[in-house]
Amino acid sequence: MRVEYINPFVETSYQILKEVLGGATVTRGDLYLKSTAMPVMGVAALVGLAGDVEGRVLFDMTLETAINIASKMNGEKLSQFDELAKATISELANLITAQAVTKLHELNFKFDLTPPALFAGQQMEIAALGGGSENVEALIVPLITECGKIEVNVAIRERA
Amino acid sequence: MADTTNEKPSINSVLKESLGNLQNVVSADTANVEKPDNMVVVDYKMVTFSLAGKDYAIDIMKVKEIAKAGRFTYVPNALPFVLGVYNLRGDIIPIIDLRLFFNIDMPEREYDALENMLIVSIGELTFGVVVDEIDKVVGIQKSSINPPHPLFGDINIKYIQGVVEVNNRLYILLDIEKIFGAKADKKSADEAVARMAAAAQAPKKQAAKTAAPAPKEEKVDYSFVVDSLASMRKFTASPLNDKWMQTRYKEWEKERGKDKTQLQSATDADLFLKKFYSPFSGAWWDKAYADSIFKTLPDNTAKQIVVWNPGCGKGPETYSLACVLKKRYPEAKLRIYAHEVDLLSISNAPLLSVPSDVANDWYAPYITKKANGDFTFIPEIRDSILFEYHDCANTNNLPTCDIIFARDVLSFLAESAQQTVITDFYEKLKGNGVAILGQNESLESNPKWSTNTIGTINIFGKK
Repeated sequence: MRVEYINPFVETSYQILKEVLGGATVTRGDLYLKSTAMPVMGVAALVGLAGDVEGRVLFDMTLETAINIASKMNGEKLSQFDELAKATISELANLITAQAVTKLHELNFKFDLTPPALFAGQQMEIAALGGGSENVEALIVPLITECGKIEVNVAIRERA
Repeated sequence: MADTTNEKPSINSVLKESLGNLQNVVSADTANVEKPDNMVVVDYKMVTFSLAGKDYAIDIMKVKEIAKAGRFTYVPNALPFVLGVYNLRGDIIPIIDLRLFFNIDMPEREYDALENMLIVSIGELTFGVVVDEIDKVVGIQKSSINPPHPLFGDINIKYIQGVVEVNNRLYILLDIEKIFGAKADKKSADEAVARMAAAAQAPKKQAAKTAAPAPKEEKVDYSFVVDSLASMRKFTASPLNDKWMQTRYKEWEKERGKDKTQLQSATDADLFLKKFYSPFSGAWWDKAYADSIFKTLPDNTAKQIVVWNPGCGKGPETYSLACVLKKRYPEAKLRIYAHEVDLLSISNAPLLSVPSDVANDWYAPYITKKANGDFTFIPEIRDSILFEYHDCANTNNLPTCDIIFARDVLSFLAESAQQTVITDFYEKLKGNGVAILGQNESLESNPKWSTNTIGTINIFGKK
């Protein structure tokens, strides 16, 4: 993945998360690369990218973390992963990706994003971009908050 | 008398002649018989077609039919060489353009034009393959298929089954199963590797003999060093750097004395490896080294030179290489893919500024001054490099490369990853391409690579 793409995603995920959680402490784990299919913790929000590049950004967290974050963002205690919680997590994914893409626009990389798609369930696995043997590696940005851990998983490649 | 004496030899000669003629006739007969024999034994038929004016062929047994069609239904998000799908009497089949698949230049497609199509079936799958022109069916003898030569340019050699000459025309016989069947491809590649390995067993055995230090104790000490290097500095001793390891170990033994060869700390490991690194590793190159690299680069008239530079570190190596390449191939467009797995190192590489003493050195023609007075590379150099955060043991989508420049990278991968990456190097390198490794790394023991030494630098090519 191009070096220029990395920082916008890392920075915005950190900033937005901090902002929506009302200034809570957010720490960033070490970034790493992964090229295999990986298990999803419970809730995953996915935003697709298209344009000069193709790829996707995936926000992965446990159900518990998702409910905690949704509660915090809505300012009320949610007990279930209901419509409101789902919409909140989708919106979070949208916020982060959109701002990262805006930053990349300023650096002259042009691409669009799709509306977020939300997945929830147990024992899910997400394939690396490309599927099959030609896997594109994904950049994993772990973010640890008091609500739990979110993994931002960015897989982008230049269009061939 | 004179007449008879004159006649006798003439009779003899006549006889001889006629006998000779008879012989000739007989031999001509046998020749005639043999010739059609050669022609008659046809145990292999192939369908020939052309792509960009060159002749290709595929096994007729794989071809279901030949058809003309156009205006295929476009499939979003499909690979670029997939033209779309087509309804062949109720069956929906994918249509693939071989010209696009092999990156062969082609005229722009007309909207309504009908394409020549071979319908091929591989196992249970059916594909439509679009080609320029379909020629005819040619019968040949299987034994006349020659193995492909590694110099074939346009098409990746792994897709070529062989070359056949029929009526003074050379046909490149494509292995359609390998093109479409990923699994089959893997299997036969493994087989090929096994064959290569078997062929190279004899020299390998010898190498193994020399590799293992004779006395048992020494061997144990040596393996301790190898283990410590692996755990402390992720350095993997393998056939790649075996030569250096052997000499370095002997030196080390002399420096430290016997029984004290073990590496106690990371500092020891660094000391041991100090001499391993290639000149100017992670630093700016001096003119002499730049010139020696310059001399190793082969002539290349290609319009675009693609370079893969895994393990580019903080960037000086890539920029230096870019300058040398620019000097060597002034006409060509450079494309350098610089990969590094250490995020901290590479994150500043795209915006690297150049210290002034370096800027005034041999780099001068490629340097410009920024508004704030810092030196930086000219846009032409900067735009030719694409820095990526990438682990070269993972798959990549690089195009085929003219040059692979990987100094002191492979030795710091696990041995299995080394093998994967070397195989990847082999696949991604063009037939006339060169690979340059670290000063103390060598592919000599690998039967697929050829070695060429220019000055102090070893360059490796495909055999």
